[in-house]
Amino acid sequence: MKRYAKLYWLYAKNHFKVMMEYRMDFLIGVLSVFGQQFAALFFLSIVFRHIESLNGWGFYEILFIYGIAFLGRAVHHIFFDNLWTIGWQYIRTGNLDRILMRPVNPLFQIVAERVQQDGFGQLLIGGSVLWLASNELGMTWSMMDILVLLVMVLASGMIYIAVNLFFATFSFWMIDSLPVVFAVFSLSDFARYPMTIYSKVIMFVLTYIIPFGFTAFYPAMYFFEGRGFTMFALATPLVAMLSLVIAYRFWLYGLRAFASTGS
Amino acid sequence: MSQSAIEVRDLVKHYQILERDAGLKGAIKALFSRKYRTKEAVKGIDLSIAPGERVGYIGFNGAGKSTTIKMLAGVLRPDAGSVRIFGIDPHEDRIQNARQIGAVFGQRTQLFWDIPVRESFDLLREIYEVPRAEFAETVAWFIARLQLEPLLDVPVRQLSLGQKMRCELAAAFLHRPRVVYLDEPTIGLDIDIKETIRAFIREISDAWGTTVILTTHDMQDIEEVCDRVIVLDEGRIIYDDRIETLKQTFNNERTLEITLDEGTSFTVPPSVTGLVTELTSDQETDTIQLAFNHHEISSGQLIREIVNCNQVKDLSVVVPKMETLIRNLYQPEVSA
Amino acid sequence: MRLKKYVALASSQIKVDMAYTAWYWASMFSVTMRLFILYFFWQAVYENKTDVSGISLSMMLTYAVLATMLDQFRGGAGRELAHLIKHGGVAVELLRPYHLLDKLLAQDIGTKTSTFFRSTLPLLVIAMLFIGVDPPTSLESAFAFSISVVLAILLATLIDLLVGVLSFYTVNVWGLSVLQEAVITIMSGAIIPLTLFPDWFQTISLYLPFASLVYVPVAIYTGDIQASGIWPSILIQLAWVGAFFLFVRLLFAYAVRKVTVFGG
Repeated sequence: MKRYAKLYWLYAKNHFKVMMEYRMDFLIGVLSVFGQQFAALFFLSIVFRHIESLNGWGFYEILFIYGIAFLGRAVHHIFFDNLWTIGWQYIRTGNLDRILMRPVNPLFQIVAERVQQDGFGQLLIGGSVLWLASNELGMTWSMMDILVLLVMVLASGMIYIAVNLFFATFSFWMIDSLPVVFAVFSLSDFARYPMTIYSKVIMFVLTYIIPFGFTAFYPAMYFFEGRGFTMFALATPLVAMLSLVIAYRFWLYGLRAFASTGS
Repeated sequence: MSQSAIEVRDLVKHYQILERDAGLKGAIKALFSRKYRTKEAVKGIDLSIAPGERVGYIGFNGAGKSTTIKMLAGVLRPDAGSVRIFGIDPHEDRIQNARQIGAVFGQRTQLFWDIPVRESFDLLREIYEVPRAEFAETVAWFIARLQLEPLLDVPVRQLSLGQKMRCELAAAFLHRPRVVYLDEPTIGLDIDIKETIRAFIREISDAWGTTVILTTHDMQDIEEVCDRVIVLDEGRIIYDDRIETLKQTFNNERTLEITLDEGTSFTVPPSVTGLVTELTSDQETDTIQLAFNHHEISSGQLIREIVNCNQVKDLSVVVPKMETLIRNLYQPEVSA
Repeated sequence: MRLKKYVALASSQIKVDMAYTAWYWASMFSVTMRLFILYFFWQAVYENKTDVSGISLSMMLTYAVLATMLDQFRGGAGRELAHLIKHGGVAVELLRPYHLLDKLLAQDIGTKTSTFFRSTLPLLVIAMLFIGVDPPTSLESAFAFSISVVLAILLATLIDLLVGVLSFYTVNVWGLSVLQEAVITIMSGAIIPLTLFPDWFQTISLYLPFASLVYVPVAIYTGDIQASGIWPSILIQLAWVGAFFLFVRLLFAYAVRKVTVFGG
C-alpha cells in the first residue's frame, strides 16, 4: 500500500512538471470547463427570473444539488480521467501489453498515468456554488456535516469512476468502447436536477441501474430537512462502494478474457 | 540439475477470427450471426532455454513469434501447455514474473512519453523496487555504454529513433531482469547504432548472465548476438540448435561467380557435369553463376576444372548468408 | 462549371459520413437524452403556470427541440482549416485549382446535409412522438423558417471558419475557440429563447450576430417573432452572412499573402 502511494506521488510529480510546460493547454482546459458550467448556471438563473420554484424546488436548492454534482465530477476528472482512454490509448495501441509486463497493478498504472489539473478549476467552481447555495439557504455546518459532505462528494466521484470503469471494460471486446461510455455518461446530466421532475421509469433507472441519482440528488437530500429520501441519502456511500466493487470485478473479468483471446 | 530459465511444454494458442462477408450485406449479416474461424497461431511447441543463453527467435510474419513471446511474458494465456520462467507461471503469477523480466517491443515505448529520460528511469526504479545504490551504479554503466549522457534531460517524445532505442534498451535492463525479450530492437536504425546496441546486449548479458530472447528480421543481429537460433514456421518449431551447427549443417551450398573474357563462351567441364547447377548466365556481361555442394567437390577442385576449360577473367566463391541458411530450412534444396 | 466541382466535393463528403458507426448511435442517444431532460425540466417549470414571458409550454418545448437540433450544425469547416494550418497541409491546398475556403464550405455543406438526413430527421421524429412539436404558426412563417434556417447554418459555418482563419495569426486559437463556444451557446438562444433574458441583455444581442444563429429561425417558427418582425430579422441575418463572408475572405487573403511573402 505504502509503495503504491509512493509510486502515485512520483507519477503525480511528473504530471505537474509537464503541466507547467503546457501552461497554455492547462489554461484552455480550465476555460472550457468554466465555460460549460457557466452556461449551465446561467441557464438556471435566467429561468428562475420567471418562476418561483421548479416542482417545489427553489433556485438555491437546485444550485446545491448542482454543486455536489460538480464536485463529484471533479474528483473523477482530476484523478481518473485516463479511464476514458483505455480503448484507444491502451488496447488499440497495444500499450496494455507493456503495462501488463510490469510488477504493478495494471489499473493503477493506467489511472496514475494521467492527472487532469484543470479539474481543480472544476472543484473550485463546484465548491463556490455549494457555498453560495448553502449560505442563501441558511444552512448551518457542524463538523459532522462537513465530514458527511466530504464522504458524499467522494462517494459521488466513486460512482462516476465506477460507471466509467464498467463501460470502459467493454473495450476488451470492442477495442474501443468510448462511444458506449460517452452515451452512458449523457445520462449523468439527468442528475443535475431534482429527480422528482422525472418519470418513475427514469428515476428507477437512475437509482437502481446506472446509479447517477446518487451522484448529486440523493446525497444532497441528507442536507435538506423535510424533503424525504433520507434512506437513499444515507445509502449513498454504500451504493458507491458496491458500484466500485462491481466495476472492478468486471474489469478483472475483462482483463482475463483479454488475455485469452489476445488482440 | 539447475533450473532452466525458460521451460515450455506443448504450448498451444488459437485465435478466433470473425468471418465476415464484404460489403453492406455482410455487415448486416454480421449483426445477427457471428461466424468464427479458428486460426492456430501456436501449434504445440517445446522450448528449454538455460540461464544466460542468447536465443534468436525467428520466423516469417504471422508465424506465431509475437504470440509466443506474449505467452512467455504473461500477457497472453495459453490454450494448452505450460510455460515456466524460472519456475514461475508468467500468466498466473503475473506480478511475480514481471519482476524478473524486461522487454523492448520495437515501436511501443517502455518509457514515459512527456518526461525527461532521467525521470523515466527514476520511475522505473520505483516500479521495480531497485535499491538506490545499485540503481545508480547500473545507470552510470549504461549511460557510458550507450552514450546516453546528452539525452538524460530530453523528454522521450523529442528523441530520434536511434536515441529512443538506446534509452529503451537501457530501460529494459535497468532492474537486472533475469530474462529479457527484445522484439525488433534494431529496426530502422543506422548501422553504427546497431553495432552499439548489439555490443551492449552482449556485454550486459555476459556480465549478469541474462537470458536474452531476440526476435528480429536482421540476420546480422542474430549472428552477432545470439549463440542459438530457433526458427518458427506456421506455429511450429522447425529448427532449434546452436548457430555453429546451423552453419555447418546447411553451409554446404556455395555459389561460384565467373566472369569470362569478352566474347568467349562457357563450357561445363565434363568432370563436374553432375556436380554443378547453372543458376544464371548473362551473355552481355559474360557472367555465369554456378551452384555446387562443397562436400561433393571442393571449391579449389571446381575452380581448377573450370579454369582449365574456360577463359576466365574473374571469379569469386560466395558463402551463403544467414538468410539463405534460414531460407533453406523452409525449402531444403540441399540435403543435410 | 465551377459549381459542379464543389458539388462533387460536397457529395463525396456525404458518402464518407454515411458510415453507421457506434459513434452515430452514441450521439443519437446522447442528444435524445438531452431532449428528454429538457422535456422534464420544462414540464416542471410550467407546473403552476401556463406561460412564461408570453411563451406557452408547447411553444417552449418546440423551441427547445428545434434549438437543440440547430445547435448541432455549428462546427466543422473552421476546425478543418485550423488543422490544415497547424499541420502544414494548407500549403498544398493553396496550390490547387480552387479556392480553399469554397472547398471547405462545400465539404461542410455536404457533411451537414448528411447530418440532417441521418441524425436530425430521426431525432425530430422521436421528438414529435414523445415530446410534442407544434406545427408552424402559419404558412408564411414556415416558409420564412426554412430560409432562416439555411442562413443560420451558413452564418454558423462562417463564424467557425473565421476562428479557423485566425489560426493563421495566432498559434493558440484553441482557447478562443473554446471560449467562443460557450459564449455563443448562450447568446444564440440555443438553450433558452432570448426573450427570457433581461432587457439589457436583449438590447446587446441586437447588435451581435449570435441571435441570428438559433433564436431568429426558431422564433420565427414558434411565432415568438411575429409576422411584422419576420422579414426584417431575415434581412439582418442576410446582412451578417454577407459581412462575415467578406470578412473571412479578406482575412484569409491577407493571411495567405503574408504567409507567401514571408515564407510560412
